[in-house]
Amino acid sequence: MYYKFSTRNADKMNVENAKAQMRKGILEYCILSILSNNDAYASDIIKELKEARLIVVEGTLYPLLTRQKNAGLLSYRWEESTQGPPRKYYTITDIGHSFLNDLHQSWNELVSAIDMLNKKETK
Amino acid sequence: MKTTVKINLSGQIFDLDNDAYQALKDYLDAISQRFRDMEEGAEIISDIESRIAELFQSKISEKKEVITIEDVNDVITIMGQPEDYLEEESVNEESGKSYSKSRKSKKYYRDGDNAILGGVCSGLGAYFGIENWLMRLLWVIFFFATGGGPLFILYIVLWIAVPKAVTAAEKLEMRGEKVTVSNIEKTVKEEYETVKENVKEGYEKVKTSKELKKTGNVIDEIFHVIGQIVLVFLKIILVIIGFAFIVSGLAVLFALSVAVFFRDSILSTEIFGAPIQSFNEFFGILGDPTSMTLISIALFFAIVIPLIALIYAGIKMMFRFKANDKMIGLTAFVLWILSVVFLVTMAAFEGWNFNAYGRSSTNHNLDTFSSDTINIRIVSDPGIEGFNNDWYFSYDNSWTMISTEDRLYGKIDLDTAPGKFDDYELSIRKNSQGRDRAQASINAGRLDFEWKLDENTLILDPYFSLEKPNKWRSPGTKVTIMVPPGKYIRLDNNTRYFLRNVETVEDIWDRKLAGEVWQMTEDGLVSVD
Repeated sequence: MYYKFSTRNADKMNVENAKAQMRKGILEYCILSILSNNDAYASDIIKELKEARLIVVEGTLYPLLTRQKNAGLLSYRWEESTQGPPRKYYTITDIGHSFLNDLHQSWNELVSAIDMLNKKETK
Repeated sequence: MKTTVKINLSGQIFDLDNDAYQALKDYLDAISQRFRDMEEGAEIISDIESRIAELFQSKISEKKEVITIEDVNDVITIMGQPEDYLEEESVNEESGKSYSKSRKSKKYYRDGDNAILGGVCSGLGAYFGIENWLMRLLWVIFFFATGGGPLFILYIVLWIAVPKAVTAAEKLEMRGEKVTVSNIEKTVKEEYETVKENVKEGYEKVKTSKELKKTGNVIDEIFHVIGQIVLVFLKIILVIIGFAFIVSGLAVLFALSVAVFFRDSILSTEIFGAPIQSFNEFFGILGDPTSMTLISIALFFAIVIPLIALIYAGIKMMFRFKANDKMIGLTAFVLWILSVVFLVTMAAFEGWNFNAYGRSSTNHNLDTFSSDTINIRIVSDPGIEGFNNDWYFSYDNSWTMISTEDRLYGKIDLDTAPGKFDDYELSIRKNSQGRDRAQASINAGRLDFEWKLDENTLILDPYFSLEKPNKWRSPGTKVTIMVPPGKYIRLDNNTRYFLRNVETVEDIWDRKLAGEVWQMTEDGLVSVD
């Protein structure tokens, strides 16, 4: 069905779509990457992503976490909190690890591909 | 001075200023609006709520106990408006790469890309993962098995009611996994896992919340878990009921069409004791073709509309598709009401044909006859198509009819009576019903009865007959042999099943009279011995 999008001028919506899709893919990649180092609360993940300026609003993260959890990439357990309600403590699963490896690989491929193209253009 | 509102957010109690409360409520409403239709929506909403509770917690201290509008606005800025992450979701759905399992949201759509007519069959094929030609073949088989009409209507109903898959997402939703044992097992397992997970999650929440002594939340969670379990059972039960609806609807349609359209079918319908092979024929006997056609059509709608509604409801329960079926449902309902009203009216109108009784009698003097004894015999082989021996044995003569290509045949009653003259007499009394007395008498006069005298033997046809297209108006013919008192009558063995209410001095059962010689007295027959 995608040929529909490529006909005539690529209008603004498609650019937005492409950007959002890219950002979403990278976000998922980053979440897995953060969790591969340490188990974390949602708020920890948010903090790291905010520091890296990958997200602006926190609400973005929750649907992604739930989806990844449902897809079997993540699991969680409930942890007591000194302040406030019990919180979900996320862990990456084995499936998540192998998925992350795939993402690492394709990320590196993409980076080198884009590097190569950019070098050609600047020549 | 300001009023405050106490809220429970993810098991924590907060005091909010009135305006702060309003702002938070609007925000949470917007979020739940955004996520509630998604499978994992409830979980996302509860995650977000618990994050907001966390943020609120950091906003209050011993000195500041109340959440203000500024605090709420801060939190909303941190969390972001639902529109800010909306586009990512839409991308997610459009690309069809959603992590959420597509099978669960599988729906029945019409497949416009592979359609021959409306894509009803190809849509079903896509749903079940069956080849389109096979689905169509099945449909055609059922089409002919149910006589064409009902399934044609069902097709039109589905064509109108079921939406066509237009967007890429809908096309993906339409295509399902093949129905195999392992897939069914997988589905059940997944449903089970969902329940288990919900129970586990609920339990752990209950456990942790208990320690925090937030009883309101505990009860909420318990009800949530119970609700989830009930929901899964309801879903399964709904599918089973839906399946039963479809099967029973099709079975009844099939049985009816066999009964209506096929003569000599496996389901031979015995209406008048003797086989009248189809409803068509039954109607042809009762009324004129035009009104019977109209009645048939009305009867068709009155029976088939509820059946199709049943099958449609079953399909809807099993496949859970969105449908714009309000209009067509209303139309069908009105059509059904009209049919029933018409049927009642016509039945009353046709029933009027049985309003009055009339008769037509003839007496024949058997004066060529000189002996003291008369033999009575029935023609043993009536030579009528569809005749069988059961016909003879039937007690209720007025309901024993045979219908052939051009005539209706009924069984006669045979009786004897003391004659008033010196000669033997044959009295034939035909009776029928009609719109009024005169019409009933005319109807009675149309009945034919044949007999002949062969020396000492009176040979009677076992039946009277009515030429088609004269209609069945509950006709009957009584043949009475008038025997002069003192003379004799010999009833042949084969009159046994035609004798009816014969007057005898010793009160003997009719069927025992056959095969013997009897003498007539003023009080009836007496045995010769």
